[in-house]
Amino acid sequence: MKVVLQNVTKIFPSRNKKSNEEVVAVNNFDFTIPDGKLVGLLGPSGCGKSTTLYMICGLQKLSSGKIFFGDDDVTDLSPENRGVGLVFQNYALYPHMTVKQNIMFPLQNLTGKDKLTKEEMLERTQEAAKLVQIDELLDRKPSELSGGQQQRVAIARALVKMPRILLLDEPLSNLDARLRLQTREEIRRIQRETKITTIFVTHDQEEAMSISDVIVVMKLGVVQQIGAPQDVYDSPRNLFVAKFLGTPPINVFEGQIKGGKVMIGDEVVVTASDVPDQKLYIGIRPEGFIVDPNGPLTCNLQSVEVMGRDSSVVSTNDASLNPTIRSIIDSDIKVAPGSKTVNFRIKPNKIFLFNKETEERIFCEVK
Amino acid sequence: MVDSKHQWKAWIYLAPAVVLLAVFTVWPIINTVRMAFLADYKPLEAAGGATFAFGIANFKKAFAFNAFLTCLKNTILLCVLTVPISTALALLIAVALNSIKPLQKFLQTIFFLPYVTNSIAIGMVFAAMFNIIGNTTNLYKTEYAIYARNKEEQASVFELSERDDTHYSFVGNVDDIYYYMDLTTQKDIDKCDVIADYSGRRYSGSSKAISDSNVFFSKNSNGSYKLVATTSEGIKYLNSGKESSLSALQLTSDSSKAAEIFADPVLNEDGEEIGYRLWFMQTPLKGGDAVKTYFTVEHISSIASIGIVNNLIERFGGRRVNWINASSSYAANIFVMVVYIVWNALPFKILILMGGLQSINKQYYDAAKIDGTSRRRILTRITIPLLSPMLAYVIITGFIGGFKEYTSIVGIFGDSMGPTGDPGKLQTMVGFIYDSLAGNNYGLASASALILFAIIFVVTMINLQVSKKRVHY
Repeated sequence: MKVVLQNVTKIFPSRNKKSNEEVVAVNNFDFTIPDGKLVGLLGPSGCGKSTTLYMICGLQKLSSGKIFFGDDDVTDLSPENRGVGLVFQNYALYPHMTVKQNIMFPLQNLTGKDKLTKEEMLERTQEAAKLVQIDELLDRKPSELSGGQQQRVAIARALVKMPRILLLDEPLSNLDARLRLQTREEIRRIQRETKITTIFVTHDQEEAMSISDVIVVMKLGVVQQIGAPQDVYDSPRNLFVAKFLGTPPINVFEGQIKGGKVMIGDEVVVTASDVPDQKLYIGIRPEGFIVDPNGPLTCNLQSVEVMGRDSSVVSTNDASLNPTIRSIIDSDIKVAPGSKTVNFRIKPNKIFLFNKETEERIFCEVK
Repeated sequence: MVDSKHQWKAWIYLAPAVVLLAVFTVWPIINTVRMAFLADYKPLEAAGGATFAFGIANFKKAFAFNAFLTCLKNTILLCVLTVPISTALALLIAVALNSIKPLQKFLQTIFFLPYVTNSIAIGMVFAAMFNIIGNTTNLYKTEYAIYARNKEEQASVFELSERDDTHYSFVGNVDDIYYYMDLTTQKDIDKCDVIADYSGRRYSGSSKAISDSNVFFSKNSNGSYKLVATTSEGIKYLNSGKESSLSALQLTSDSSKAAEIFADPVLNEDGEEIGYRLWFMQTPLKGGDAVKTYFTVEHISSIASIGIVNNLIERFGGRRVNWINASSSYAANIFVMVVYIVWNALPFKILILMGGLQSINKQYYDAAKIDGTSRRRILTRITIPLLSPMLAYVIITGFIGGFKEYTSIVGIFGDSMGPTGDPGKLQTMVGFIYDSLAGNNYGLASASALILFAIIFVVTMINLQVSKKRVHY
């Protein structure tokens, strides 16, 4: 089931009666989510990603715009008539019911021709539990489960009524780091098995990039960029997207271009011949640095953090907007201990130029 | 842990509280238990060194006491009726209040008002609402008719001829004798002037001496006049300006013995007294035999439903109920008490349940909404289970409070603890304990207090056991 968002806008009235300032939570969201894909809505808190999710599931009304599931206009449908499953950030499992009762609850709500017999309900509950691998835990209460298990129960409860769309609100934020890795694989697997169009919301770019087919990066209610995770990472449309994706984050420098030469301070790092002279923001991914004693970029070395597979060189430069520059280098390459400075060469495909006023990407060929 | 070297310091800090608790809480409890087991305990004699027999005589006495068993029955009945009703109502109101946005705070305040109002005062208001007999000023205007009849029981001849805020006039004709009665009120019926015109002559007298009343006149055979009044204190009459009290059923003649007036009660088909019939013998002016002339005061439109509840019942075509007045039924009394206690108990329960409701995570409701749960199922499957700790608290404290019911009865029935003529009919356990204390019966009071304690203890234990299974914490 594809989901079409047409100019979806959500405006919250001002809380403060005096100021009358409206809050535009989501501004003109226009996007078609292809059938059977896993889509991540990504952005910092307050960017409108959860509001978008709630509008899709019907808990929030749209201020303007339309939402279609397939060809059905669901804009004015109430949540229960949309056929969506929603997994809440804190799971919202009913604490007084067992896992089985929790999963069965949506089925018991069905009335009229959809009404199921007890056997059918049990069968569907078993099926859903098996899918998320909690069929051993059916008689426990949520409080007796670990965070990851609760998460699975919540997913099972959302899936048991066979929704057209599955929505997940910050599904991994309540899990510890190790469980997070495991659970996101699990979500991916379940989505692949059920082929249900799934939309999830997260502020963790790593999470979004790792499992999504498509990510939507949002900022202050405005969609910044939509695309496959790798494409968005490799080719951010603006400084915000570039900064938001990637750990460690991209290193941003103030610089300029003069006669096709991109300069940080007085040092020419790369060339981009067809860009007019101007001041720039220059973003360099941590993995875009190559330690080279003859490299053009000289930085003051602060420390080297060894992480086994690779090392992280921490250095400073006057032109850097980040307090420190982080570069990831192969651990085979040794930086001379005791040296005060370190010199880098830059990989041309890991450096992005941004207009200083608009912060939009300047697309050009970099050498 | 406090260092043992400094423990004495800790005890000094604790001392004021310990002493106060020991003197005013611990010792009275111990003393109650002690007195309960001492027969005919008298504190003054005990202070004088007298000793009392030890045993369960007090408990035996309590259970042998008819009044005690009445109290037990009343208390348990009120408890069993009011706690479920008030809890269910409070739950519905709290849920309703919680689901509305506008006016929520305002309505919350309204519902909370009874909590901060004196329960005796509320009781008196309820007593007025459920009353059947009210102020005679009102009765006079609307509820009474005045008839004069001759011996053939001919039509009523006294008619209301004039009426405004301050002035009533009744005109009548019996056997060609023209009667005229003029009541000029000054809002206060006590100050009415009564003018009786007999056969064209006008006599006047003041009814100042007569309290709120219906006033009549009659003629004595010697030609002097007589004013007769039915009052709340019985029947009184004025003769030549002199007042004397008369028995309700028979008016004796005045000092001159020149005339006699008689009064008979008027009964309705149920045998209830609804008024008086005053009669005397008189000789028509145009001559002939003396005839018996009646003046009947009776309640038309079923007595005086002054209480708003009976007014409403009658407005909708029902029959008035004697809720709390003399010779009212036990069921009616209990009904009034249940209404009052439930109303009085609601605010606290609503407050607690509102607090509980607001602490329920809204996401449970969002989740239920997405799953298409009906409102009823949300209430029974989500709200009530999640509210169960609060419900358990409200029920347990409700039972404890119910067993200590006392002031509510005083509020409605006064300290006679029952309708007029039937004191103690609605006495409760706590009332019984007070009465025993007032009667210097310390042993009986203590024993009753211990019995009450035992009942509350057992009921609370049962409540806790049940809630262990039902309550989700």
